[in-house]
Amino acid sequence: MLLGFFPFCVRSKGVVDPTQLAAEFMEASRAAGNPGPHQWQDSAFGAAERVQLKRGEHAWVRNASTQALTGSTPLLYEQIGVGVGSASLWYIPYNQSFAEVGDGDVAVSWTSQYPELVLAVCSFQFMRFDVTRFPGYVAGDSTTHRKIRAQVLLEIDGARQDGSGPFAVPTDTRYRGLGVGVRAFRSSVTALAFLPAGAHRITPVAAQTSCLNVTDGELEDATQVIDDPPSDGVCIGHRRVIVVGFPRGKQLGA
Amino acid sequence: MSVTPPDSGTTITAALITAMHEAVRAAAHAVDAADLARAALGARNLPSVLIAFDALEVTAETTVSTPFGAETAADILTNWVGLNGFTLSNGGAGYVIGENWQLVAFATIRIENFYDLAGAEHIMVSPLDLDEQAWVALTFEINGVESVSLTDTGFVHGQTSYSECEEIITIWSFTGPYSAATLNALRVRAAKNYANAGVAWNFKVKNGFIGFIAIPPNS
Repeated sequence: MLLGFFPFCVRSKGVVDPTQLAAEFMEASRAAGNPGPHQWQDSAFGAAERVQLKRGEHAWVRNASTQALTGSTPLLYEQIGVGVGSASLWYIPYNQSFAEVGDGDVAVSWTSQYPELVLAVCSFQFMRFDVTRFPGYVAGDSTTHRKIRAQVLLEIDGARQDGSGPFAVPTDTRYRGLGVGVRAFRSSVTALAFLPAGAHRITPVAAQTSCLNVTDGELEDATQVIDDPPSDGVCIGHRRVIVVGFPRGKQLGA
Repeated sequence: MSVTPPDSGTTITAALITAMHEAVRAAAHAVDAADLARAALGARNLPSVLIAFDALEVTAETTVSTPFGAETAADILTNWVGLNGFTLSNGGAGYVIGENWQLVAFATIRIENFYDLAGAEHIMVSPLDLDEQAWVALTFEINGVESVSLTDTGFVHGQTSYSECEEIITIWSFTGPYSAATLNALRVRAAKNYANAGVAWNFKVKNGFIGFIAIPPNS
């Protein structure tokens, strides 16, 4: 062990002051008894010690997943007119803000003894109806095409993590750019947080914005209230949450 | 062990100096865990808690013309085509996985385009959303057995009213823990599904990324 201790010593032909001399030893004792990270030699920890250290400073991973498409058709069932969709398809409520994906079926909960840095990922499949299958569609009438925007985020201990996924805070009445408008996407949302010791819960949340009829002026149009919104054909299918924790503040051997 | 200083104004004796030396020596040679500072062990001292095993930027293209048979592990592993370059295998030797390690894998797959069989960009038949689907799956081959969770599959559709489709798929997956094992390969497989009647088409995976990390057990 290399101590970060630099004695002043006694100058040649100087007078030895007992208090100063004692302070030198007391400082050396303090450095030895309360070492920091730069006071260890590079070779201070051999293989055996490093194995022991792993027990004091480890990462952990937790995982929850639901598969939602098998046994049914990968298209929503109305599109091919046979059978029923998987019971695990989770429908995103229309214009009701964020709701917990799968009603919490992929939430990860744990209790930590120490503060932790946590990386959370939700990897999921989104899909929706072809717009011709939404309520109110009239062939040839473009004003009846419902264009929705899907939003997916992570929620940590009840706090929505803006920026973790496709979502933007609307600063005007327009809906463009607030979410994802494509018919299907397979993606992942992530969040990094430093959490105190205690009970924690991470879960994905999703929302549908209020939607708009497709018209020639959709670039500028504001959102509209629609009597027959696309509330049934917008889903999260497969979903998996992975949480990796890096404990901090845990002392060696504790 | 605390240092006992000489009293001010007293004579410094050899015994006092020796006693203080002994106190410092005892402290330096018997550091107790309880005495460690909060940040006593830093990055240069501690072992890695994550093991970044391997990762690869993929630049090889694959044109996927394999039809989707069923959304089953058997169909994926038997019929879906492995994407060029999207295989991590340590040059074929595989990776030795420690006792009770867990693996987190991730892949990004860039779907560049939908093509008809003549090689031209696929002309979408539907005036609105399209039915064509590009499917991918992330698979693990461990101890010589390849497996897939259907949770680690996904798809994107052709795009409305554009002759070009360009979408990114990202999948994060998790597996383990295992007894001491060998991860022979991490792969991405793909297939196409659905099409407007009478229209033959393929899709192209342009490039992407694949990798995995390992997390040793807690204790």
